[in-house]
Amino acid sequence: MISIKHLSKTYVNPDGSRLEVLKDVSCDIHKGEVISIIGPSGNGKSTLLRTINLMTKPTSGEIFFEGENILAQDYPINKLRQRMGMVFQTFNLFEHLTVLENVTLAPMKLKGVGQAEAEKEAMTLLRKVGMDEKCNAMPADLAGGQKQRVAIARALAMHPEVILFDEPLSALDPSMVGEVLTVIRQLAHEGMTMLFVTHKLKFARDVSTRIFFMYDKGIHEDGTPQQIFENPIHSATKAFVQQIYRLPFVVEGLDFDIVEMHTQMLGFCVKYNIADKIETMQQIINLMVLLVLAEYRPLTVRISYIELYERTTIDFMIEGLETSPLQADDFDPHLIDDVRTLAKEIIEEPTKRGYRIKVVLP
Amino acid sequence: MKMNKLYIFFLALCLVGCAKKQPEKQPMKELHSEADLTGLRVGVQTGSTYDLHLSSLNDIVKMGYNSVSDGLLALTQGKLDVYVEDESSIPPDEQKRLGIKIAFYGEEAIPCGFPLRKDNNGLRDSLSHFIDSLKATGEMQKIHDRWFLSDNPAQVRIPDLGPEPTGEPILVGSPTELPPVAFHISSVWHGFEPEVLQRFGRYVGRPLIIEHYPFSSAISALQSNKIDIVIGGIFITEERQKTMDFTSSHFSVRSAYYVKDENAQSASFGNKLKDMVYNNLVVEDRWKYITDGLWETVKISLFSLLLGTLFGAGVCALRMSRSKGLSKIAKIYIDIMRGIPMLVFLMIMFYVIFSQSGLGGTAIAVLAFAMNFAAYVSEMFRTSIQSVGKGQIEAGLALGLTKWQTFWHITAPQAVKNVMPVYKGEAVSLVKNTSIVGYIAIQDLTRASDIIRTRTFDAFFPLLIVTIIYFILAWLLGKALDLIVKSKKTTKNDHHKPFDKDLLRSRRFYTSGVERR
Repeated sequence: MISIKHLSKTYVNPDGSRLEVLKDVSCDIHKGEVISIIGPSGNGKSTLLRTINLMTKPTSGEIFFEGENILAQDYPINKLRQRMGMVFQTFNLFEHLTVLENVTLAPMKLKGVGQAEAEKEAMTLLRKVGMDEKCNAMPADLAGGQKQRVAIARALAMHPEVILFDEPLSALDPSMVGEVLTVIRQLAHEGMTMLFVTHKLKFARDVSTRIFFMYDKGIHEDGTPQQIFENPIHSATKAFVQQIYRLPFVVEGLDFDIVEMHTQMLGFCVKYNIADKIETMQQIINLMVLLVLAEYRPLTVRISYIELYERTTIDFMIEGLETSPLQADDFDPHLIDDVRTLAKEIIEEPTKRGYRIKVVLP
Repeated sequence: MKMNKLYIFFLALCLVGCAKKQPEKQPMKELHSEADLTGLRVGVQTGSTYDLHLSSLNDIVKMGYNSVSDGLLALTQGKLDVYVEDESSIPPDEQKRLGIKIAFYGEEAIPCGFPLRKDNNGLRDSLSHFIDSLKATGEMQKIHDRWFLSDNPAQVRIPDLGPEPTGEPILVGSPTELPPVAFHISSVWHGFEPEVLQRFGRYVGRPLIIEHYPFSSAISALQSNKIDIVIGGIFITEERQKTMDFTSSHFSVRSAYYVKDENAQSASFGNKLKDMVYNNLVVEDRWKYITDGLWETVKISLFSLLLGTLFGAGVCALRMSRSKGLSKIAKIYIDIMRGIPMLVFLMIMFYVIFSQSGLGGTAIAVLAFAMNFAAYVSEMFRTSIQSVGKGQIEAGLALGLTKWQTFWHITAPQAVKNVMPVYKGEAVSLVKNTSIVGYIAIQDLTRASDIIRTRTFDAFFPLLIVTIIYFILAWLLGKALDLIVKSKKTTKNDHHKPFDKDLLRSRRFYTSGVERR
């Protein structure tokens, strides 16, 4: 359906400096595919997506849509965009129109659909995304997840052949991701061709039929989710998909600067969107550092987060120790009961450096 | 509580201080000559020959006023002891009505003539001949006496001189609107000087067109060919003869020193109110000045507003254009328009730029106001357009709307709503700014109050009426603009329910495709 050949994009700043974002990118996209474009920030993911509907103009290369060269001089760009839908990270609903009017605007103005018919269609779509009851609401009164669902309905109203999603879930509270995810899955199920730019690896793995890993100004690796996540060929891919985010501290004395640690933890959790886990984490750390492992100093505490599996663990490492502190003779097993209720799993493992207790969060 | 007491104490102090400033009412001694003026407060019209003359007296307190009525008001309110004016300015009937009298007259009578442009010798010689011949036959004195010796010159009229001639009109500007020299009733000019010139006009076969110009503006109008003659008892002075040519003098004027008449009765307030309404509105159908002036103001305001908004949109488009050159041009235009005072700009447009075009004063005024208005609103438009989130424009384009469609359907509605509060303020300012058109001889609402004030010497009532009317105009304009952005969009608006009830009832449709949590 879409063919990209040798696409390049270089941004030129007002002061003359150049930034090459995409270099000689080629790929083919087929009908019915659900492709997630992932990769480290600033590697041209959004740029690639936006060249497909010419929101960004490439510097060189060719793009074919249904066999036609869309970069040709006289190609009707507006008609192209009517066949492609786009959903944005910031929703971009029309603030001065109701939900219903947001959805009916394009069909009425571009396809000449009459108002009654447009509204009927719009209501069907809104029902599909679960926003029919709010058809007369103004965008300002909606929550993020609701706005995104309306945005999807708005894109669907034009009956596009492909929908481009630019980080559709990034601006959403974790509690609202589910409702949008549901709609996206349904669309995939119905066979809509979709392209996503996303940071959420779990989402990419669950929903897509194909993954583009963008790195070094191009598509570094292209394969099924299975291939990319479980058997990545390139080291860069591997490093990215399996990356673990870590935050270490060392506790020296009997007391430690709780406030400092909590502040850093908060920053970490907000950064990786796991802020909902922070209370549990704080409780576990307090219990472990001040109670269970109170006698062991220095103590290294390390918080780890693997996005792919959405798994958070807190490691407690005591250097030089060979046996588990929890098995020591004078250890009172009841001390750790509270931690057991909070955690999903507690793993005790000896390492070269010392002994490590891993607490896995639910 | 302490602060309150302190505040009240301070306020009381101020009031006592103000009260103390009022000079005590002394019974006026009899005045017979300028020598008797020592130590008194003497009022004049600022910039007049009397102003100059009184400057030579050292031991008086000289106070300058913008108009005769302002000065007389001060006199009757006790803020002045003496007011100096032409002896004919306040006829005996008017003196009685105002409760003032003439204490004594000036020593010399100063000759008056008609000033013309320096290059207009033909007209000047012709008029001078005519004046000389009238004086020779004694006709001039007869005409003069008919106007000046009447107790109430406002009731004297120019006699029927026959049909109006059909030649090229003589354009006349008159700063004066006071009987007996020159005044108008329902926009028809009467008075001594209009009569002399009407007779002259019949003699040379040319009709007369007389319009009011404020004095300084009249001189500019004379120099820029807008008028041929200035009337209004203009004194012939050496200074003036440097830049203008005078005809032979047609009469001379003596000054009078007016004081408050202690014996005059002051009417009760109820009668005063009735008199005020009668004098200001009913006499000589003066209310017509207000309605005519209102129509002028509304006309000019509306056209300026419409044209100015269109221009403003154009300037805004230029300012936001991708071409740096066009944007720069727009910015320069905006800076210039914002930097020149509106009155100065209006005069430049009327006396300099469009002076030779055939355009009338109203058209030039509308153009000038529109250009000024455009500069201000264009920046407001720019801000309001930029305030609409760029993401929405992207969304519009991504749907396939053209740039123009996104502007019209998405940016514009929101920009209009955003700009309306400041736009309303600017529009109301425009209406108020139109009050300066009197300077280019357009009789608007403000001029109406000037005219009435000049004749009745009552500063308060005409101003009050006109103020109220301006306020109502501004209020109506605000309401009209509000109608344009009537916000019909609230979430609670349930009139619009496009449900297809059959579809709703059928569960199959309701749950199609969406996983319920």
